Amino acid sequence: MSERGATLKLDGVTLDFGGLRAVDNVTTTISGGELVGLIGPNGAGKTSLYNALTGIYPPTAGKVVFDGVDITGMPPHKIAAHGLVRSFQLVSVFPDMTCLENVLAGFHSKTRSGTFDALFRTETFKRERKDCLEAARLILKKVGLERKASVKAGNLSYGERKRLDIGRAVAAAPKMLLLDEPAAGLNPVERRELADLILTLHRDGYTMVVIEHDMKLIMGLVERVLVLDRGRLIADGTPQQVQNDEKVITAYIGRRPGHAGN
Amino acid sequence: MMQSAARKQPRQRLLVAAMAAIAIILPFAAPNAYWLHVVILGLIHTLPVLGLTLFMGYAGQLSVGHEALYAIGAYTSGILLRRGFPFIVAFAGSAILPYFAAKALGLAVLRYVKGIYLAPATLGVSWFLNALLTNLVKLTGGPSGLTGIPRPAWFRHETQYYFLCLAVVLAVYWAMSRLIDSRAGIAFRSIAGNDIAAECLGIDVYRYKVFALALSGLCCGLGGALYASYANYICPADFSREMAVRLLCMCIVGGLGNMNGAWMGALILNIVPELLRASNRLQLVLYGALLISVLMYWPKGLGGLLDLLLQRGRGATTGAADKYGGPAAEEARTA
Ligand SMILES: Nc1ncnc2c1ncn2[C@@H]1O[C@H](COP(=O)(O)OP(=O)(O)OP(=O)(O)O)[C@@H](O)[C@H]1O
Ligand SMILES: [Mg+2]
Repeated sequence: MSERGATLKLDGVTLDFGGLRAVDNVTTTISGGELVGLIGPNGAGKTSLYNALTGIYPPTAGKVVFDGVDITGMPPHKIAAHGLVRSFQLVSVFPDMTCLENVLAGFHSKTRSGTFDALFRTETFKRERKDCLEAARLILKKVGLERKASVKAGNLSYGERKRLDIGRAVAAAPKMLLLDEPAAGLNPVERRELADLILTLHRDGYTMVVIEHDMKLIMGLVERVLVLDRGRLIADGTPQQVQNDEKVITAYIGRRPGHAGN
Repeated sequence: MMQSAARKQPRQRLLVAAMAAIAIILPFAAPNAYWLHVVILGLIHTLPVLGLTLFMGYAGQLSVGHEALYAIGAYTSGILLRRGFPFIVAFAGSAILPYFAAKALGLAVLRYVKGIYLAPATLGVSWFLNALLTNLVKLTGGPSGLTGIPRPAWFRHETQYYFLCLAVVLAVYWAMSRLIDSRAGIAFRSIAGNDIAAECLGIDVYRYKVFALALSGLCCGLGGALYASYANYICPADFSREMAVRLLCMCIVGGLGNMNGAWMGALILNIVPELLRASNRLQLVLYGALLISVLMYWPKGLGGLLDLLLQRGRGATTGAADKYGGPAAEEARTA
C-alpha cells in the first residue's frame, strides 16, 4: 500500500448548476490522518462538494489542491489515480461482478499489465494477479465479506453492498477517502458495524471525510465536523463546538432535521 | 466448495472434447453441401457477434451499426484480393482498417454520447458507410458490388474453408477470453456496471470504451474478410439494416456478454431459419416466436443455458466467479 496521508486544500470552491449555487465559496483544509465528518441538512450541497472535488462536476470557481497537486478540473480517473477516492450515496457497486471482482476493479490505477500481458500471461500479469488477489482477499475480510467473494454484488443485501462500496474504494489505495452517507439506510446493528469499520480504517491510517445525517453517529465517530448549509461552510470544529453553534442549530431547526438517507 | 469445483472439471472437459469432436467430424457428416454452407456462415457471423459481445455485452455500450464494421472488413479484403494482393495481406488489412475506423468512430462519439443515444449515433454511421459503398463506384462497384473475389489457395473447397473459419473463430475466442480475464476485462465490465463509479476508481472510461470498440471493429473486420472470400461476391445489400439487426439478435439470443453465447447465437440463427424453410409462409412467424420465447424463458440466452449446464450442483450465485475464470476463480472458491 502507498502512504495514505495527504492534504486536501479547498480554496473558494464553488459549484453552480445553472442559477443554483450548490457549493458556495468553500475554503478549508483537511490534513493527512484526519477523520472528518461532513454534515448538513438535505440539499445542503454535501454530495455536490464531493462531485466538485472528484471532478464529476469541475468547480465553477475556486481551486482544489491535493497532495501538492492542483487537481481542479482534472478528469475523475486522474484525480482517483492521485489518491482521492470516493464512495457514492446511491449504492454503485457493479452488480454483475462478484465481490472479488468489484474489489479488483479498485486496483486498476495501481496495476499496469496491458493487452500483451493478458494474451500471453507474462510474468507481470502473473505477479499482478497474485498480488491483487491476495490484497483483495484482505480487503474483503476487512469489510466483512470474505465469505461472499464469489457472490455477485447484485445479490448482496443493502448493507453488504454499502460495505463492498467502501472496500472497492479502499482497494484504490486512496490517500484520502470521501464517503457519502455510508450508513444511510442501515439498521442500528449495521450502523454500529459500519462505524467500527470506519474507525478501523482510520486506525489503519486512512484519511477520511464522512458525510452523515445522523448527528449521534457522527458525534461519536469523528474529531472534527464541517457543517454545510445552502452550499456554504457555516461551522468547522469539534463535535461539541459544532453542536452548540448558533448557526448550526438554526440551520437544522429552520428546516427539517435530517434523517438518514434520501 | 473444493468438492464442487473438482466435480465441475471433468464435466467441462468432457463437453469441450465432445464439441471438438463434433467440430472436426461435422464437415464430413453434414447431410449435404448446403448444410455445411449454413454452418460456415454461422462461423463467419460468430466473429462480428464476438465483436458485439465485447462492446455491448462486456463494456455495456450500445451499437446498432456493427454491420458497417463488418462491411469495411469485407470490402477491404475484396478490393485488395481483386488487385492481386496475397490473402494474408488482405486479411491483415481487414483487421487493421476496421480497427482504426472503429477507433476513430469511438474517439469522435464515445466521449459525450452515452446510453441509448448511441443508437442514433451508430445508426448514422452505418447510413454514412452505406452511402459510401453505394456511391464510390470505382472503388466498391457501387450497388452491384464486387465480383470474383478469390479464396486463398489452400482453402478453395468448402470443407477446407470451414476449417479456416473455425481456426479464425477459435483464435479470436482464445484472445478475447484472455483479455476478458484480465485487468482490461475488469475495466470493461466495471464500465458496463456503472461508468461513473468506474471513472472514480481511476479507470479511464473513455479510453477503455474506445478500446472496446476498436477491438470490436477488428473482430468484425476478420468476419468480413472471411465472408468476402467465401461468397466471392459482396454488395451493399449484404450489409443492410437487416444484417445489423440479425447480428444484434444473435448476440442477444446467445446471451449478452457471453462468449459461448456468441457462437451459439450465430449458429442457431443461421440454422433455424433453414429448418423452418419447410414451413414456407409460416417461416417468419415461427422465427419471430422463437426469438421471443428465448428472451422470455432464458433472458441469459443460450450461452447462459450452457453455463447452467456446466455449473449444476453448485450454488446459483457462485457461478459469476467463473467470469473471472481460471486460477482466480478457483482460488476464490477454495479460499
Ligand atoms: N446535477 C445536478 N443538477 C442540478 N442541480 C443539482 C445537481 N446535483 C445537485 N443539485 C442541486 O444542488 C443542491 C445540493 O444537492 P446535494 O445533492 O449536493 O445535497 P446533499 O447535501 O448531498 O443532500 P442530501 O443530504 O439530501 O444528500 C440541491 O438543491 C440539488 O437539487
Ligand atoms: Mg447527498
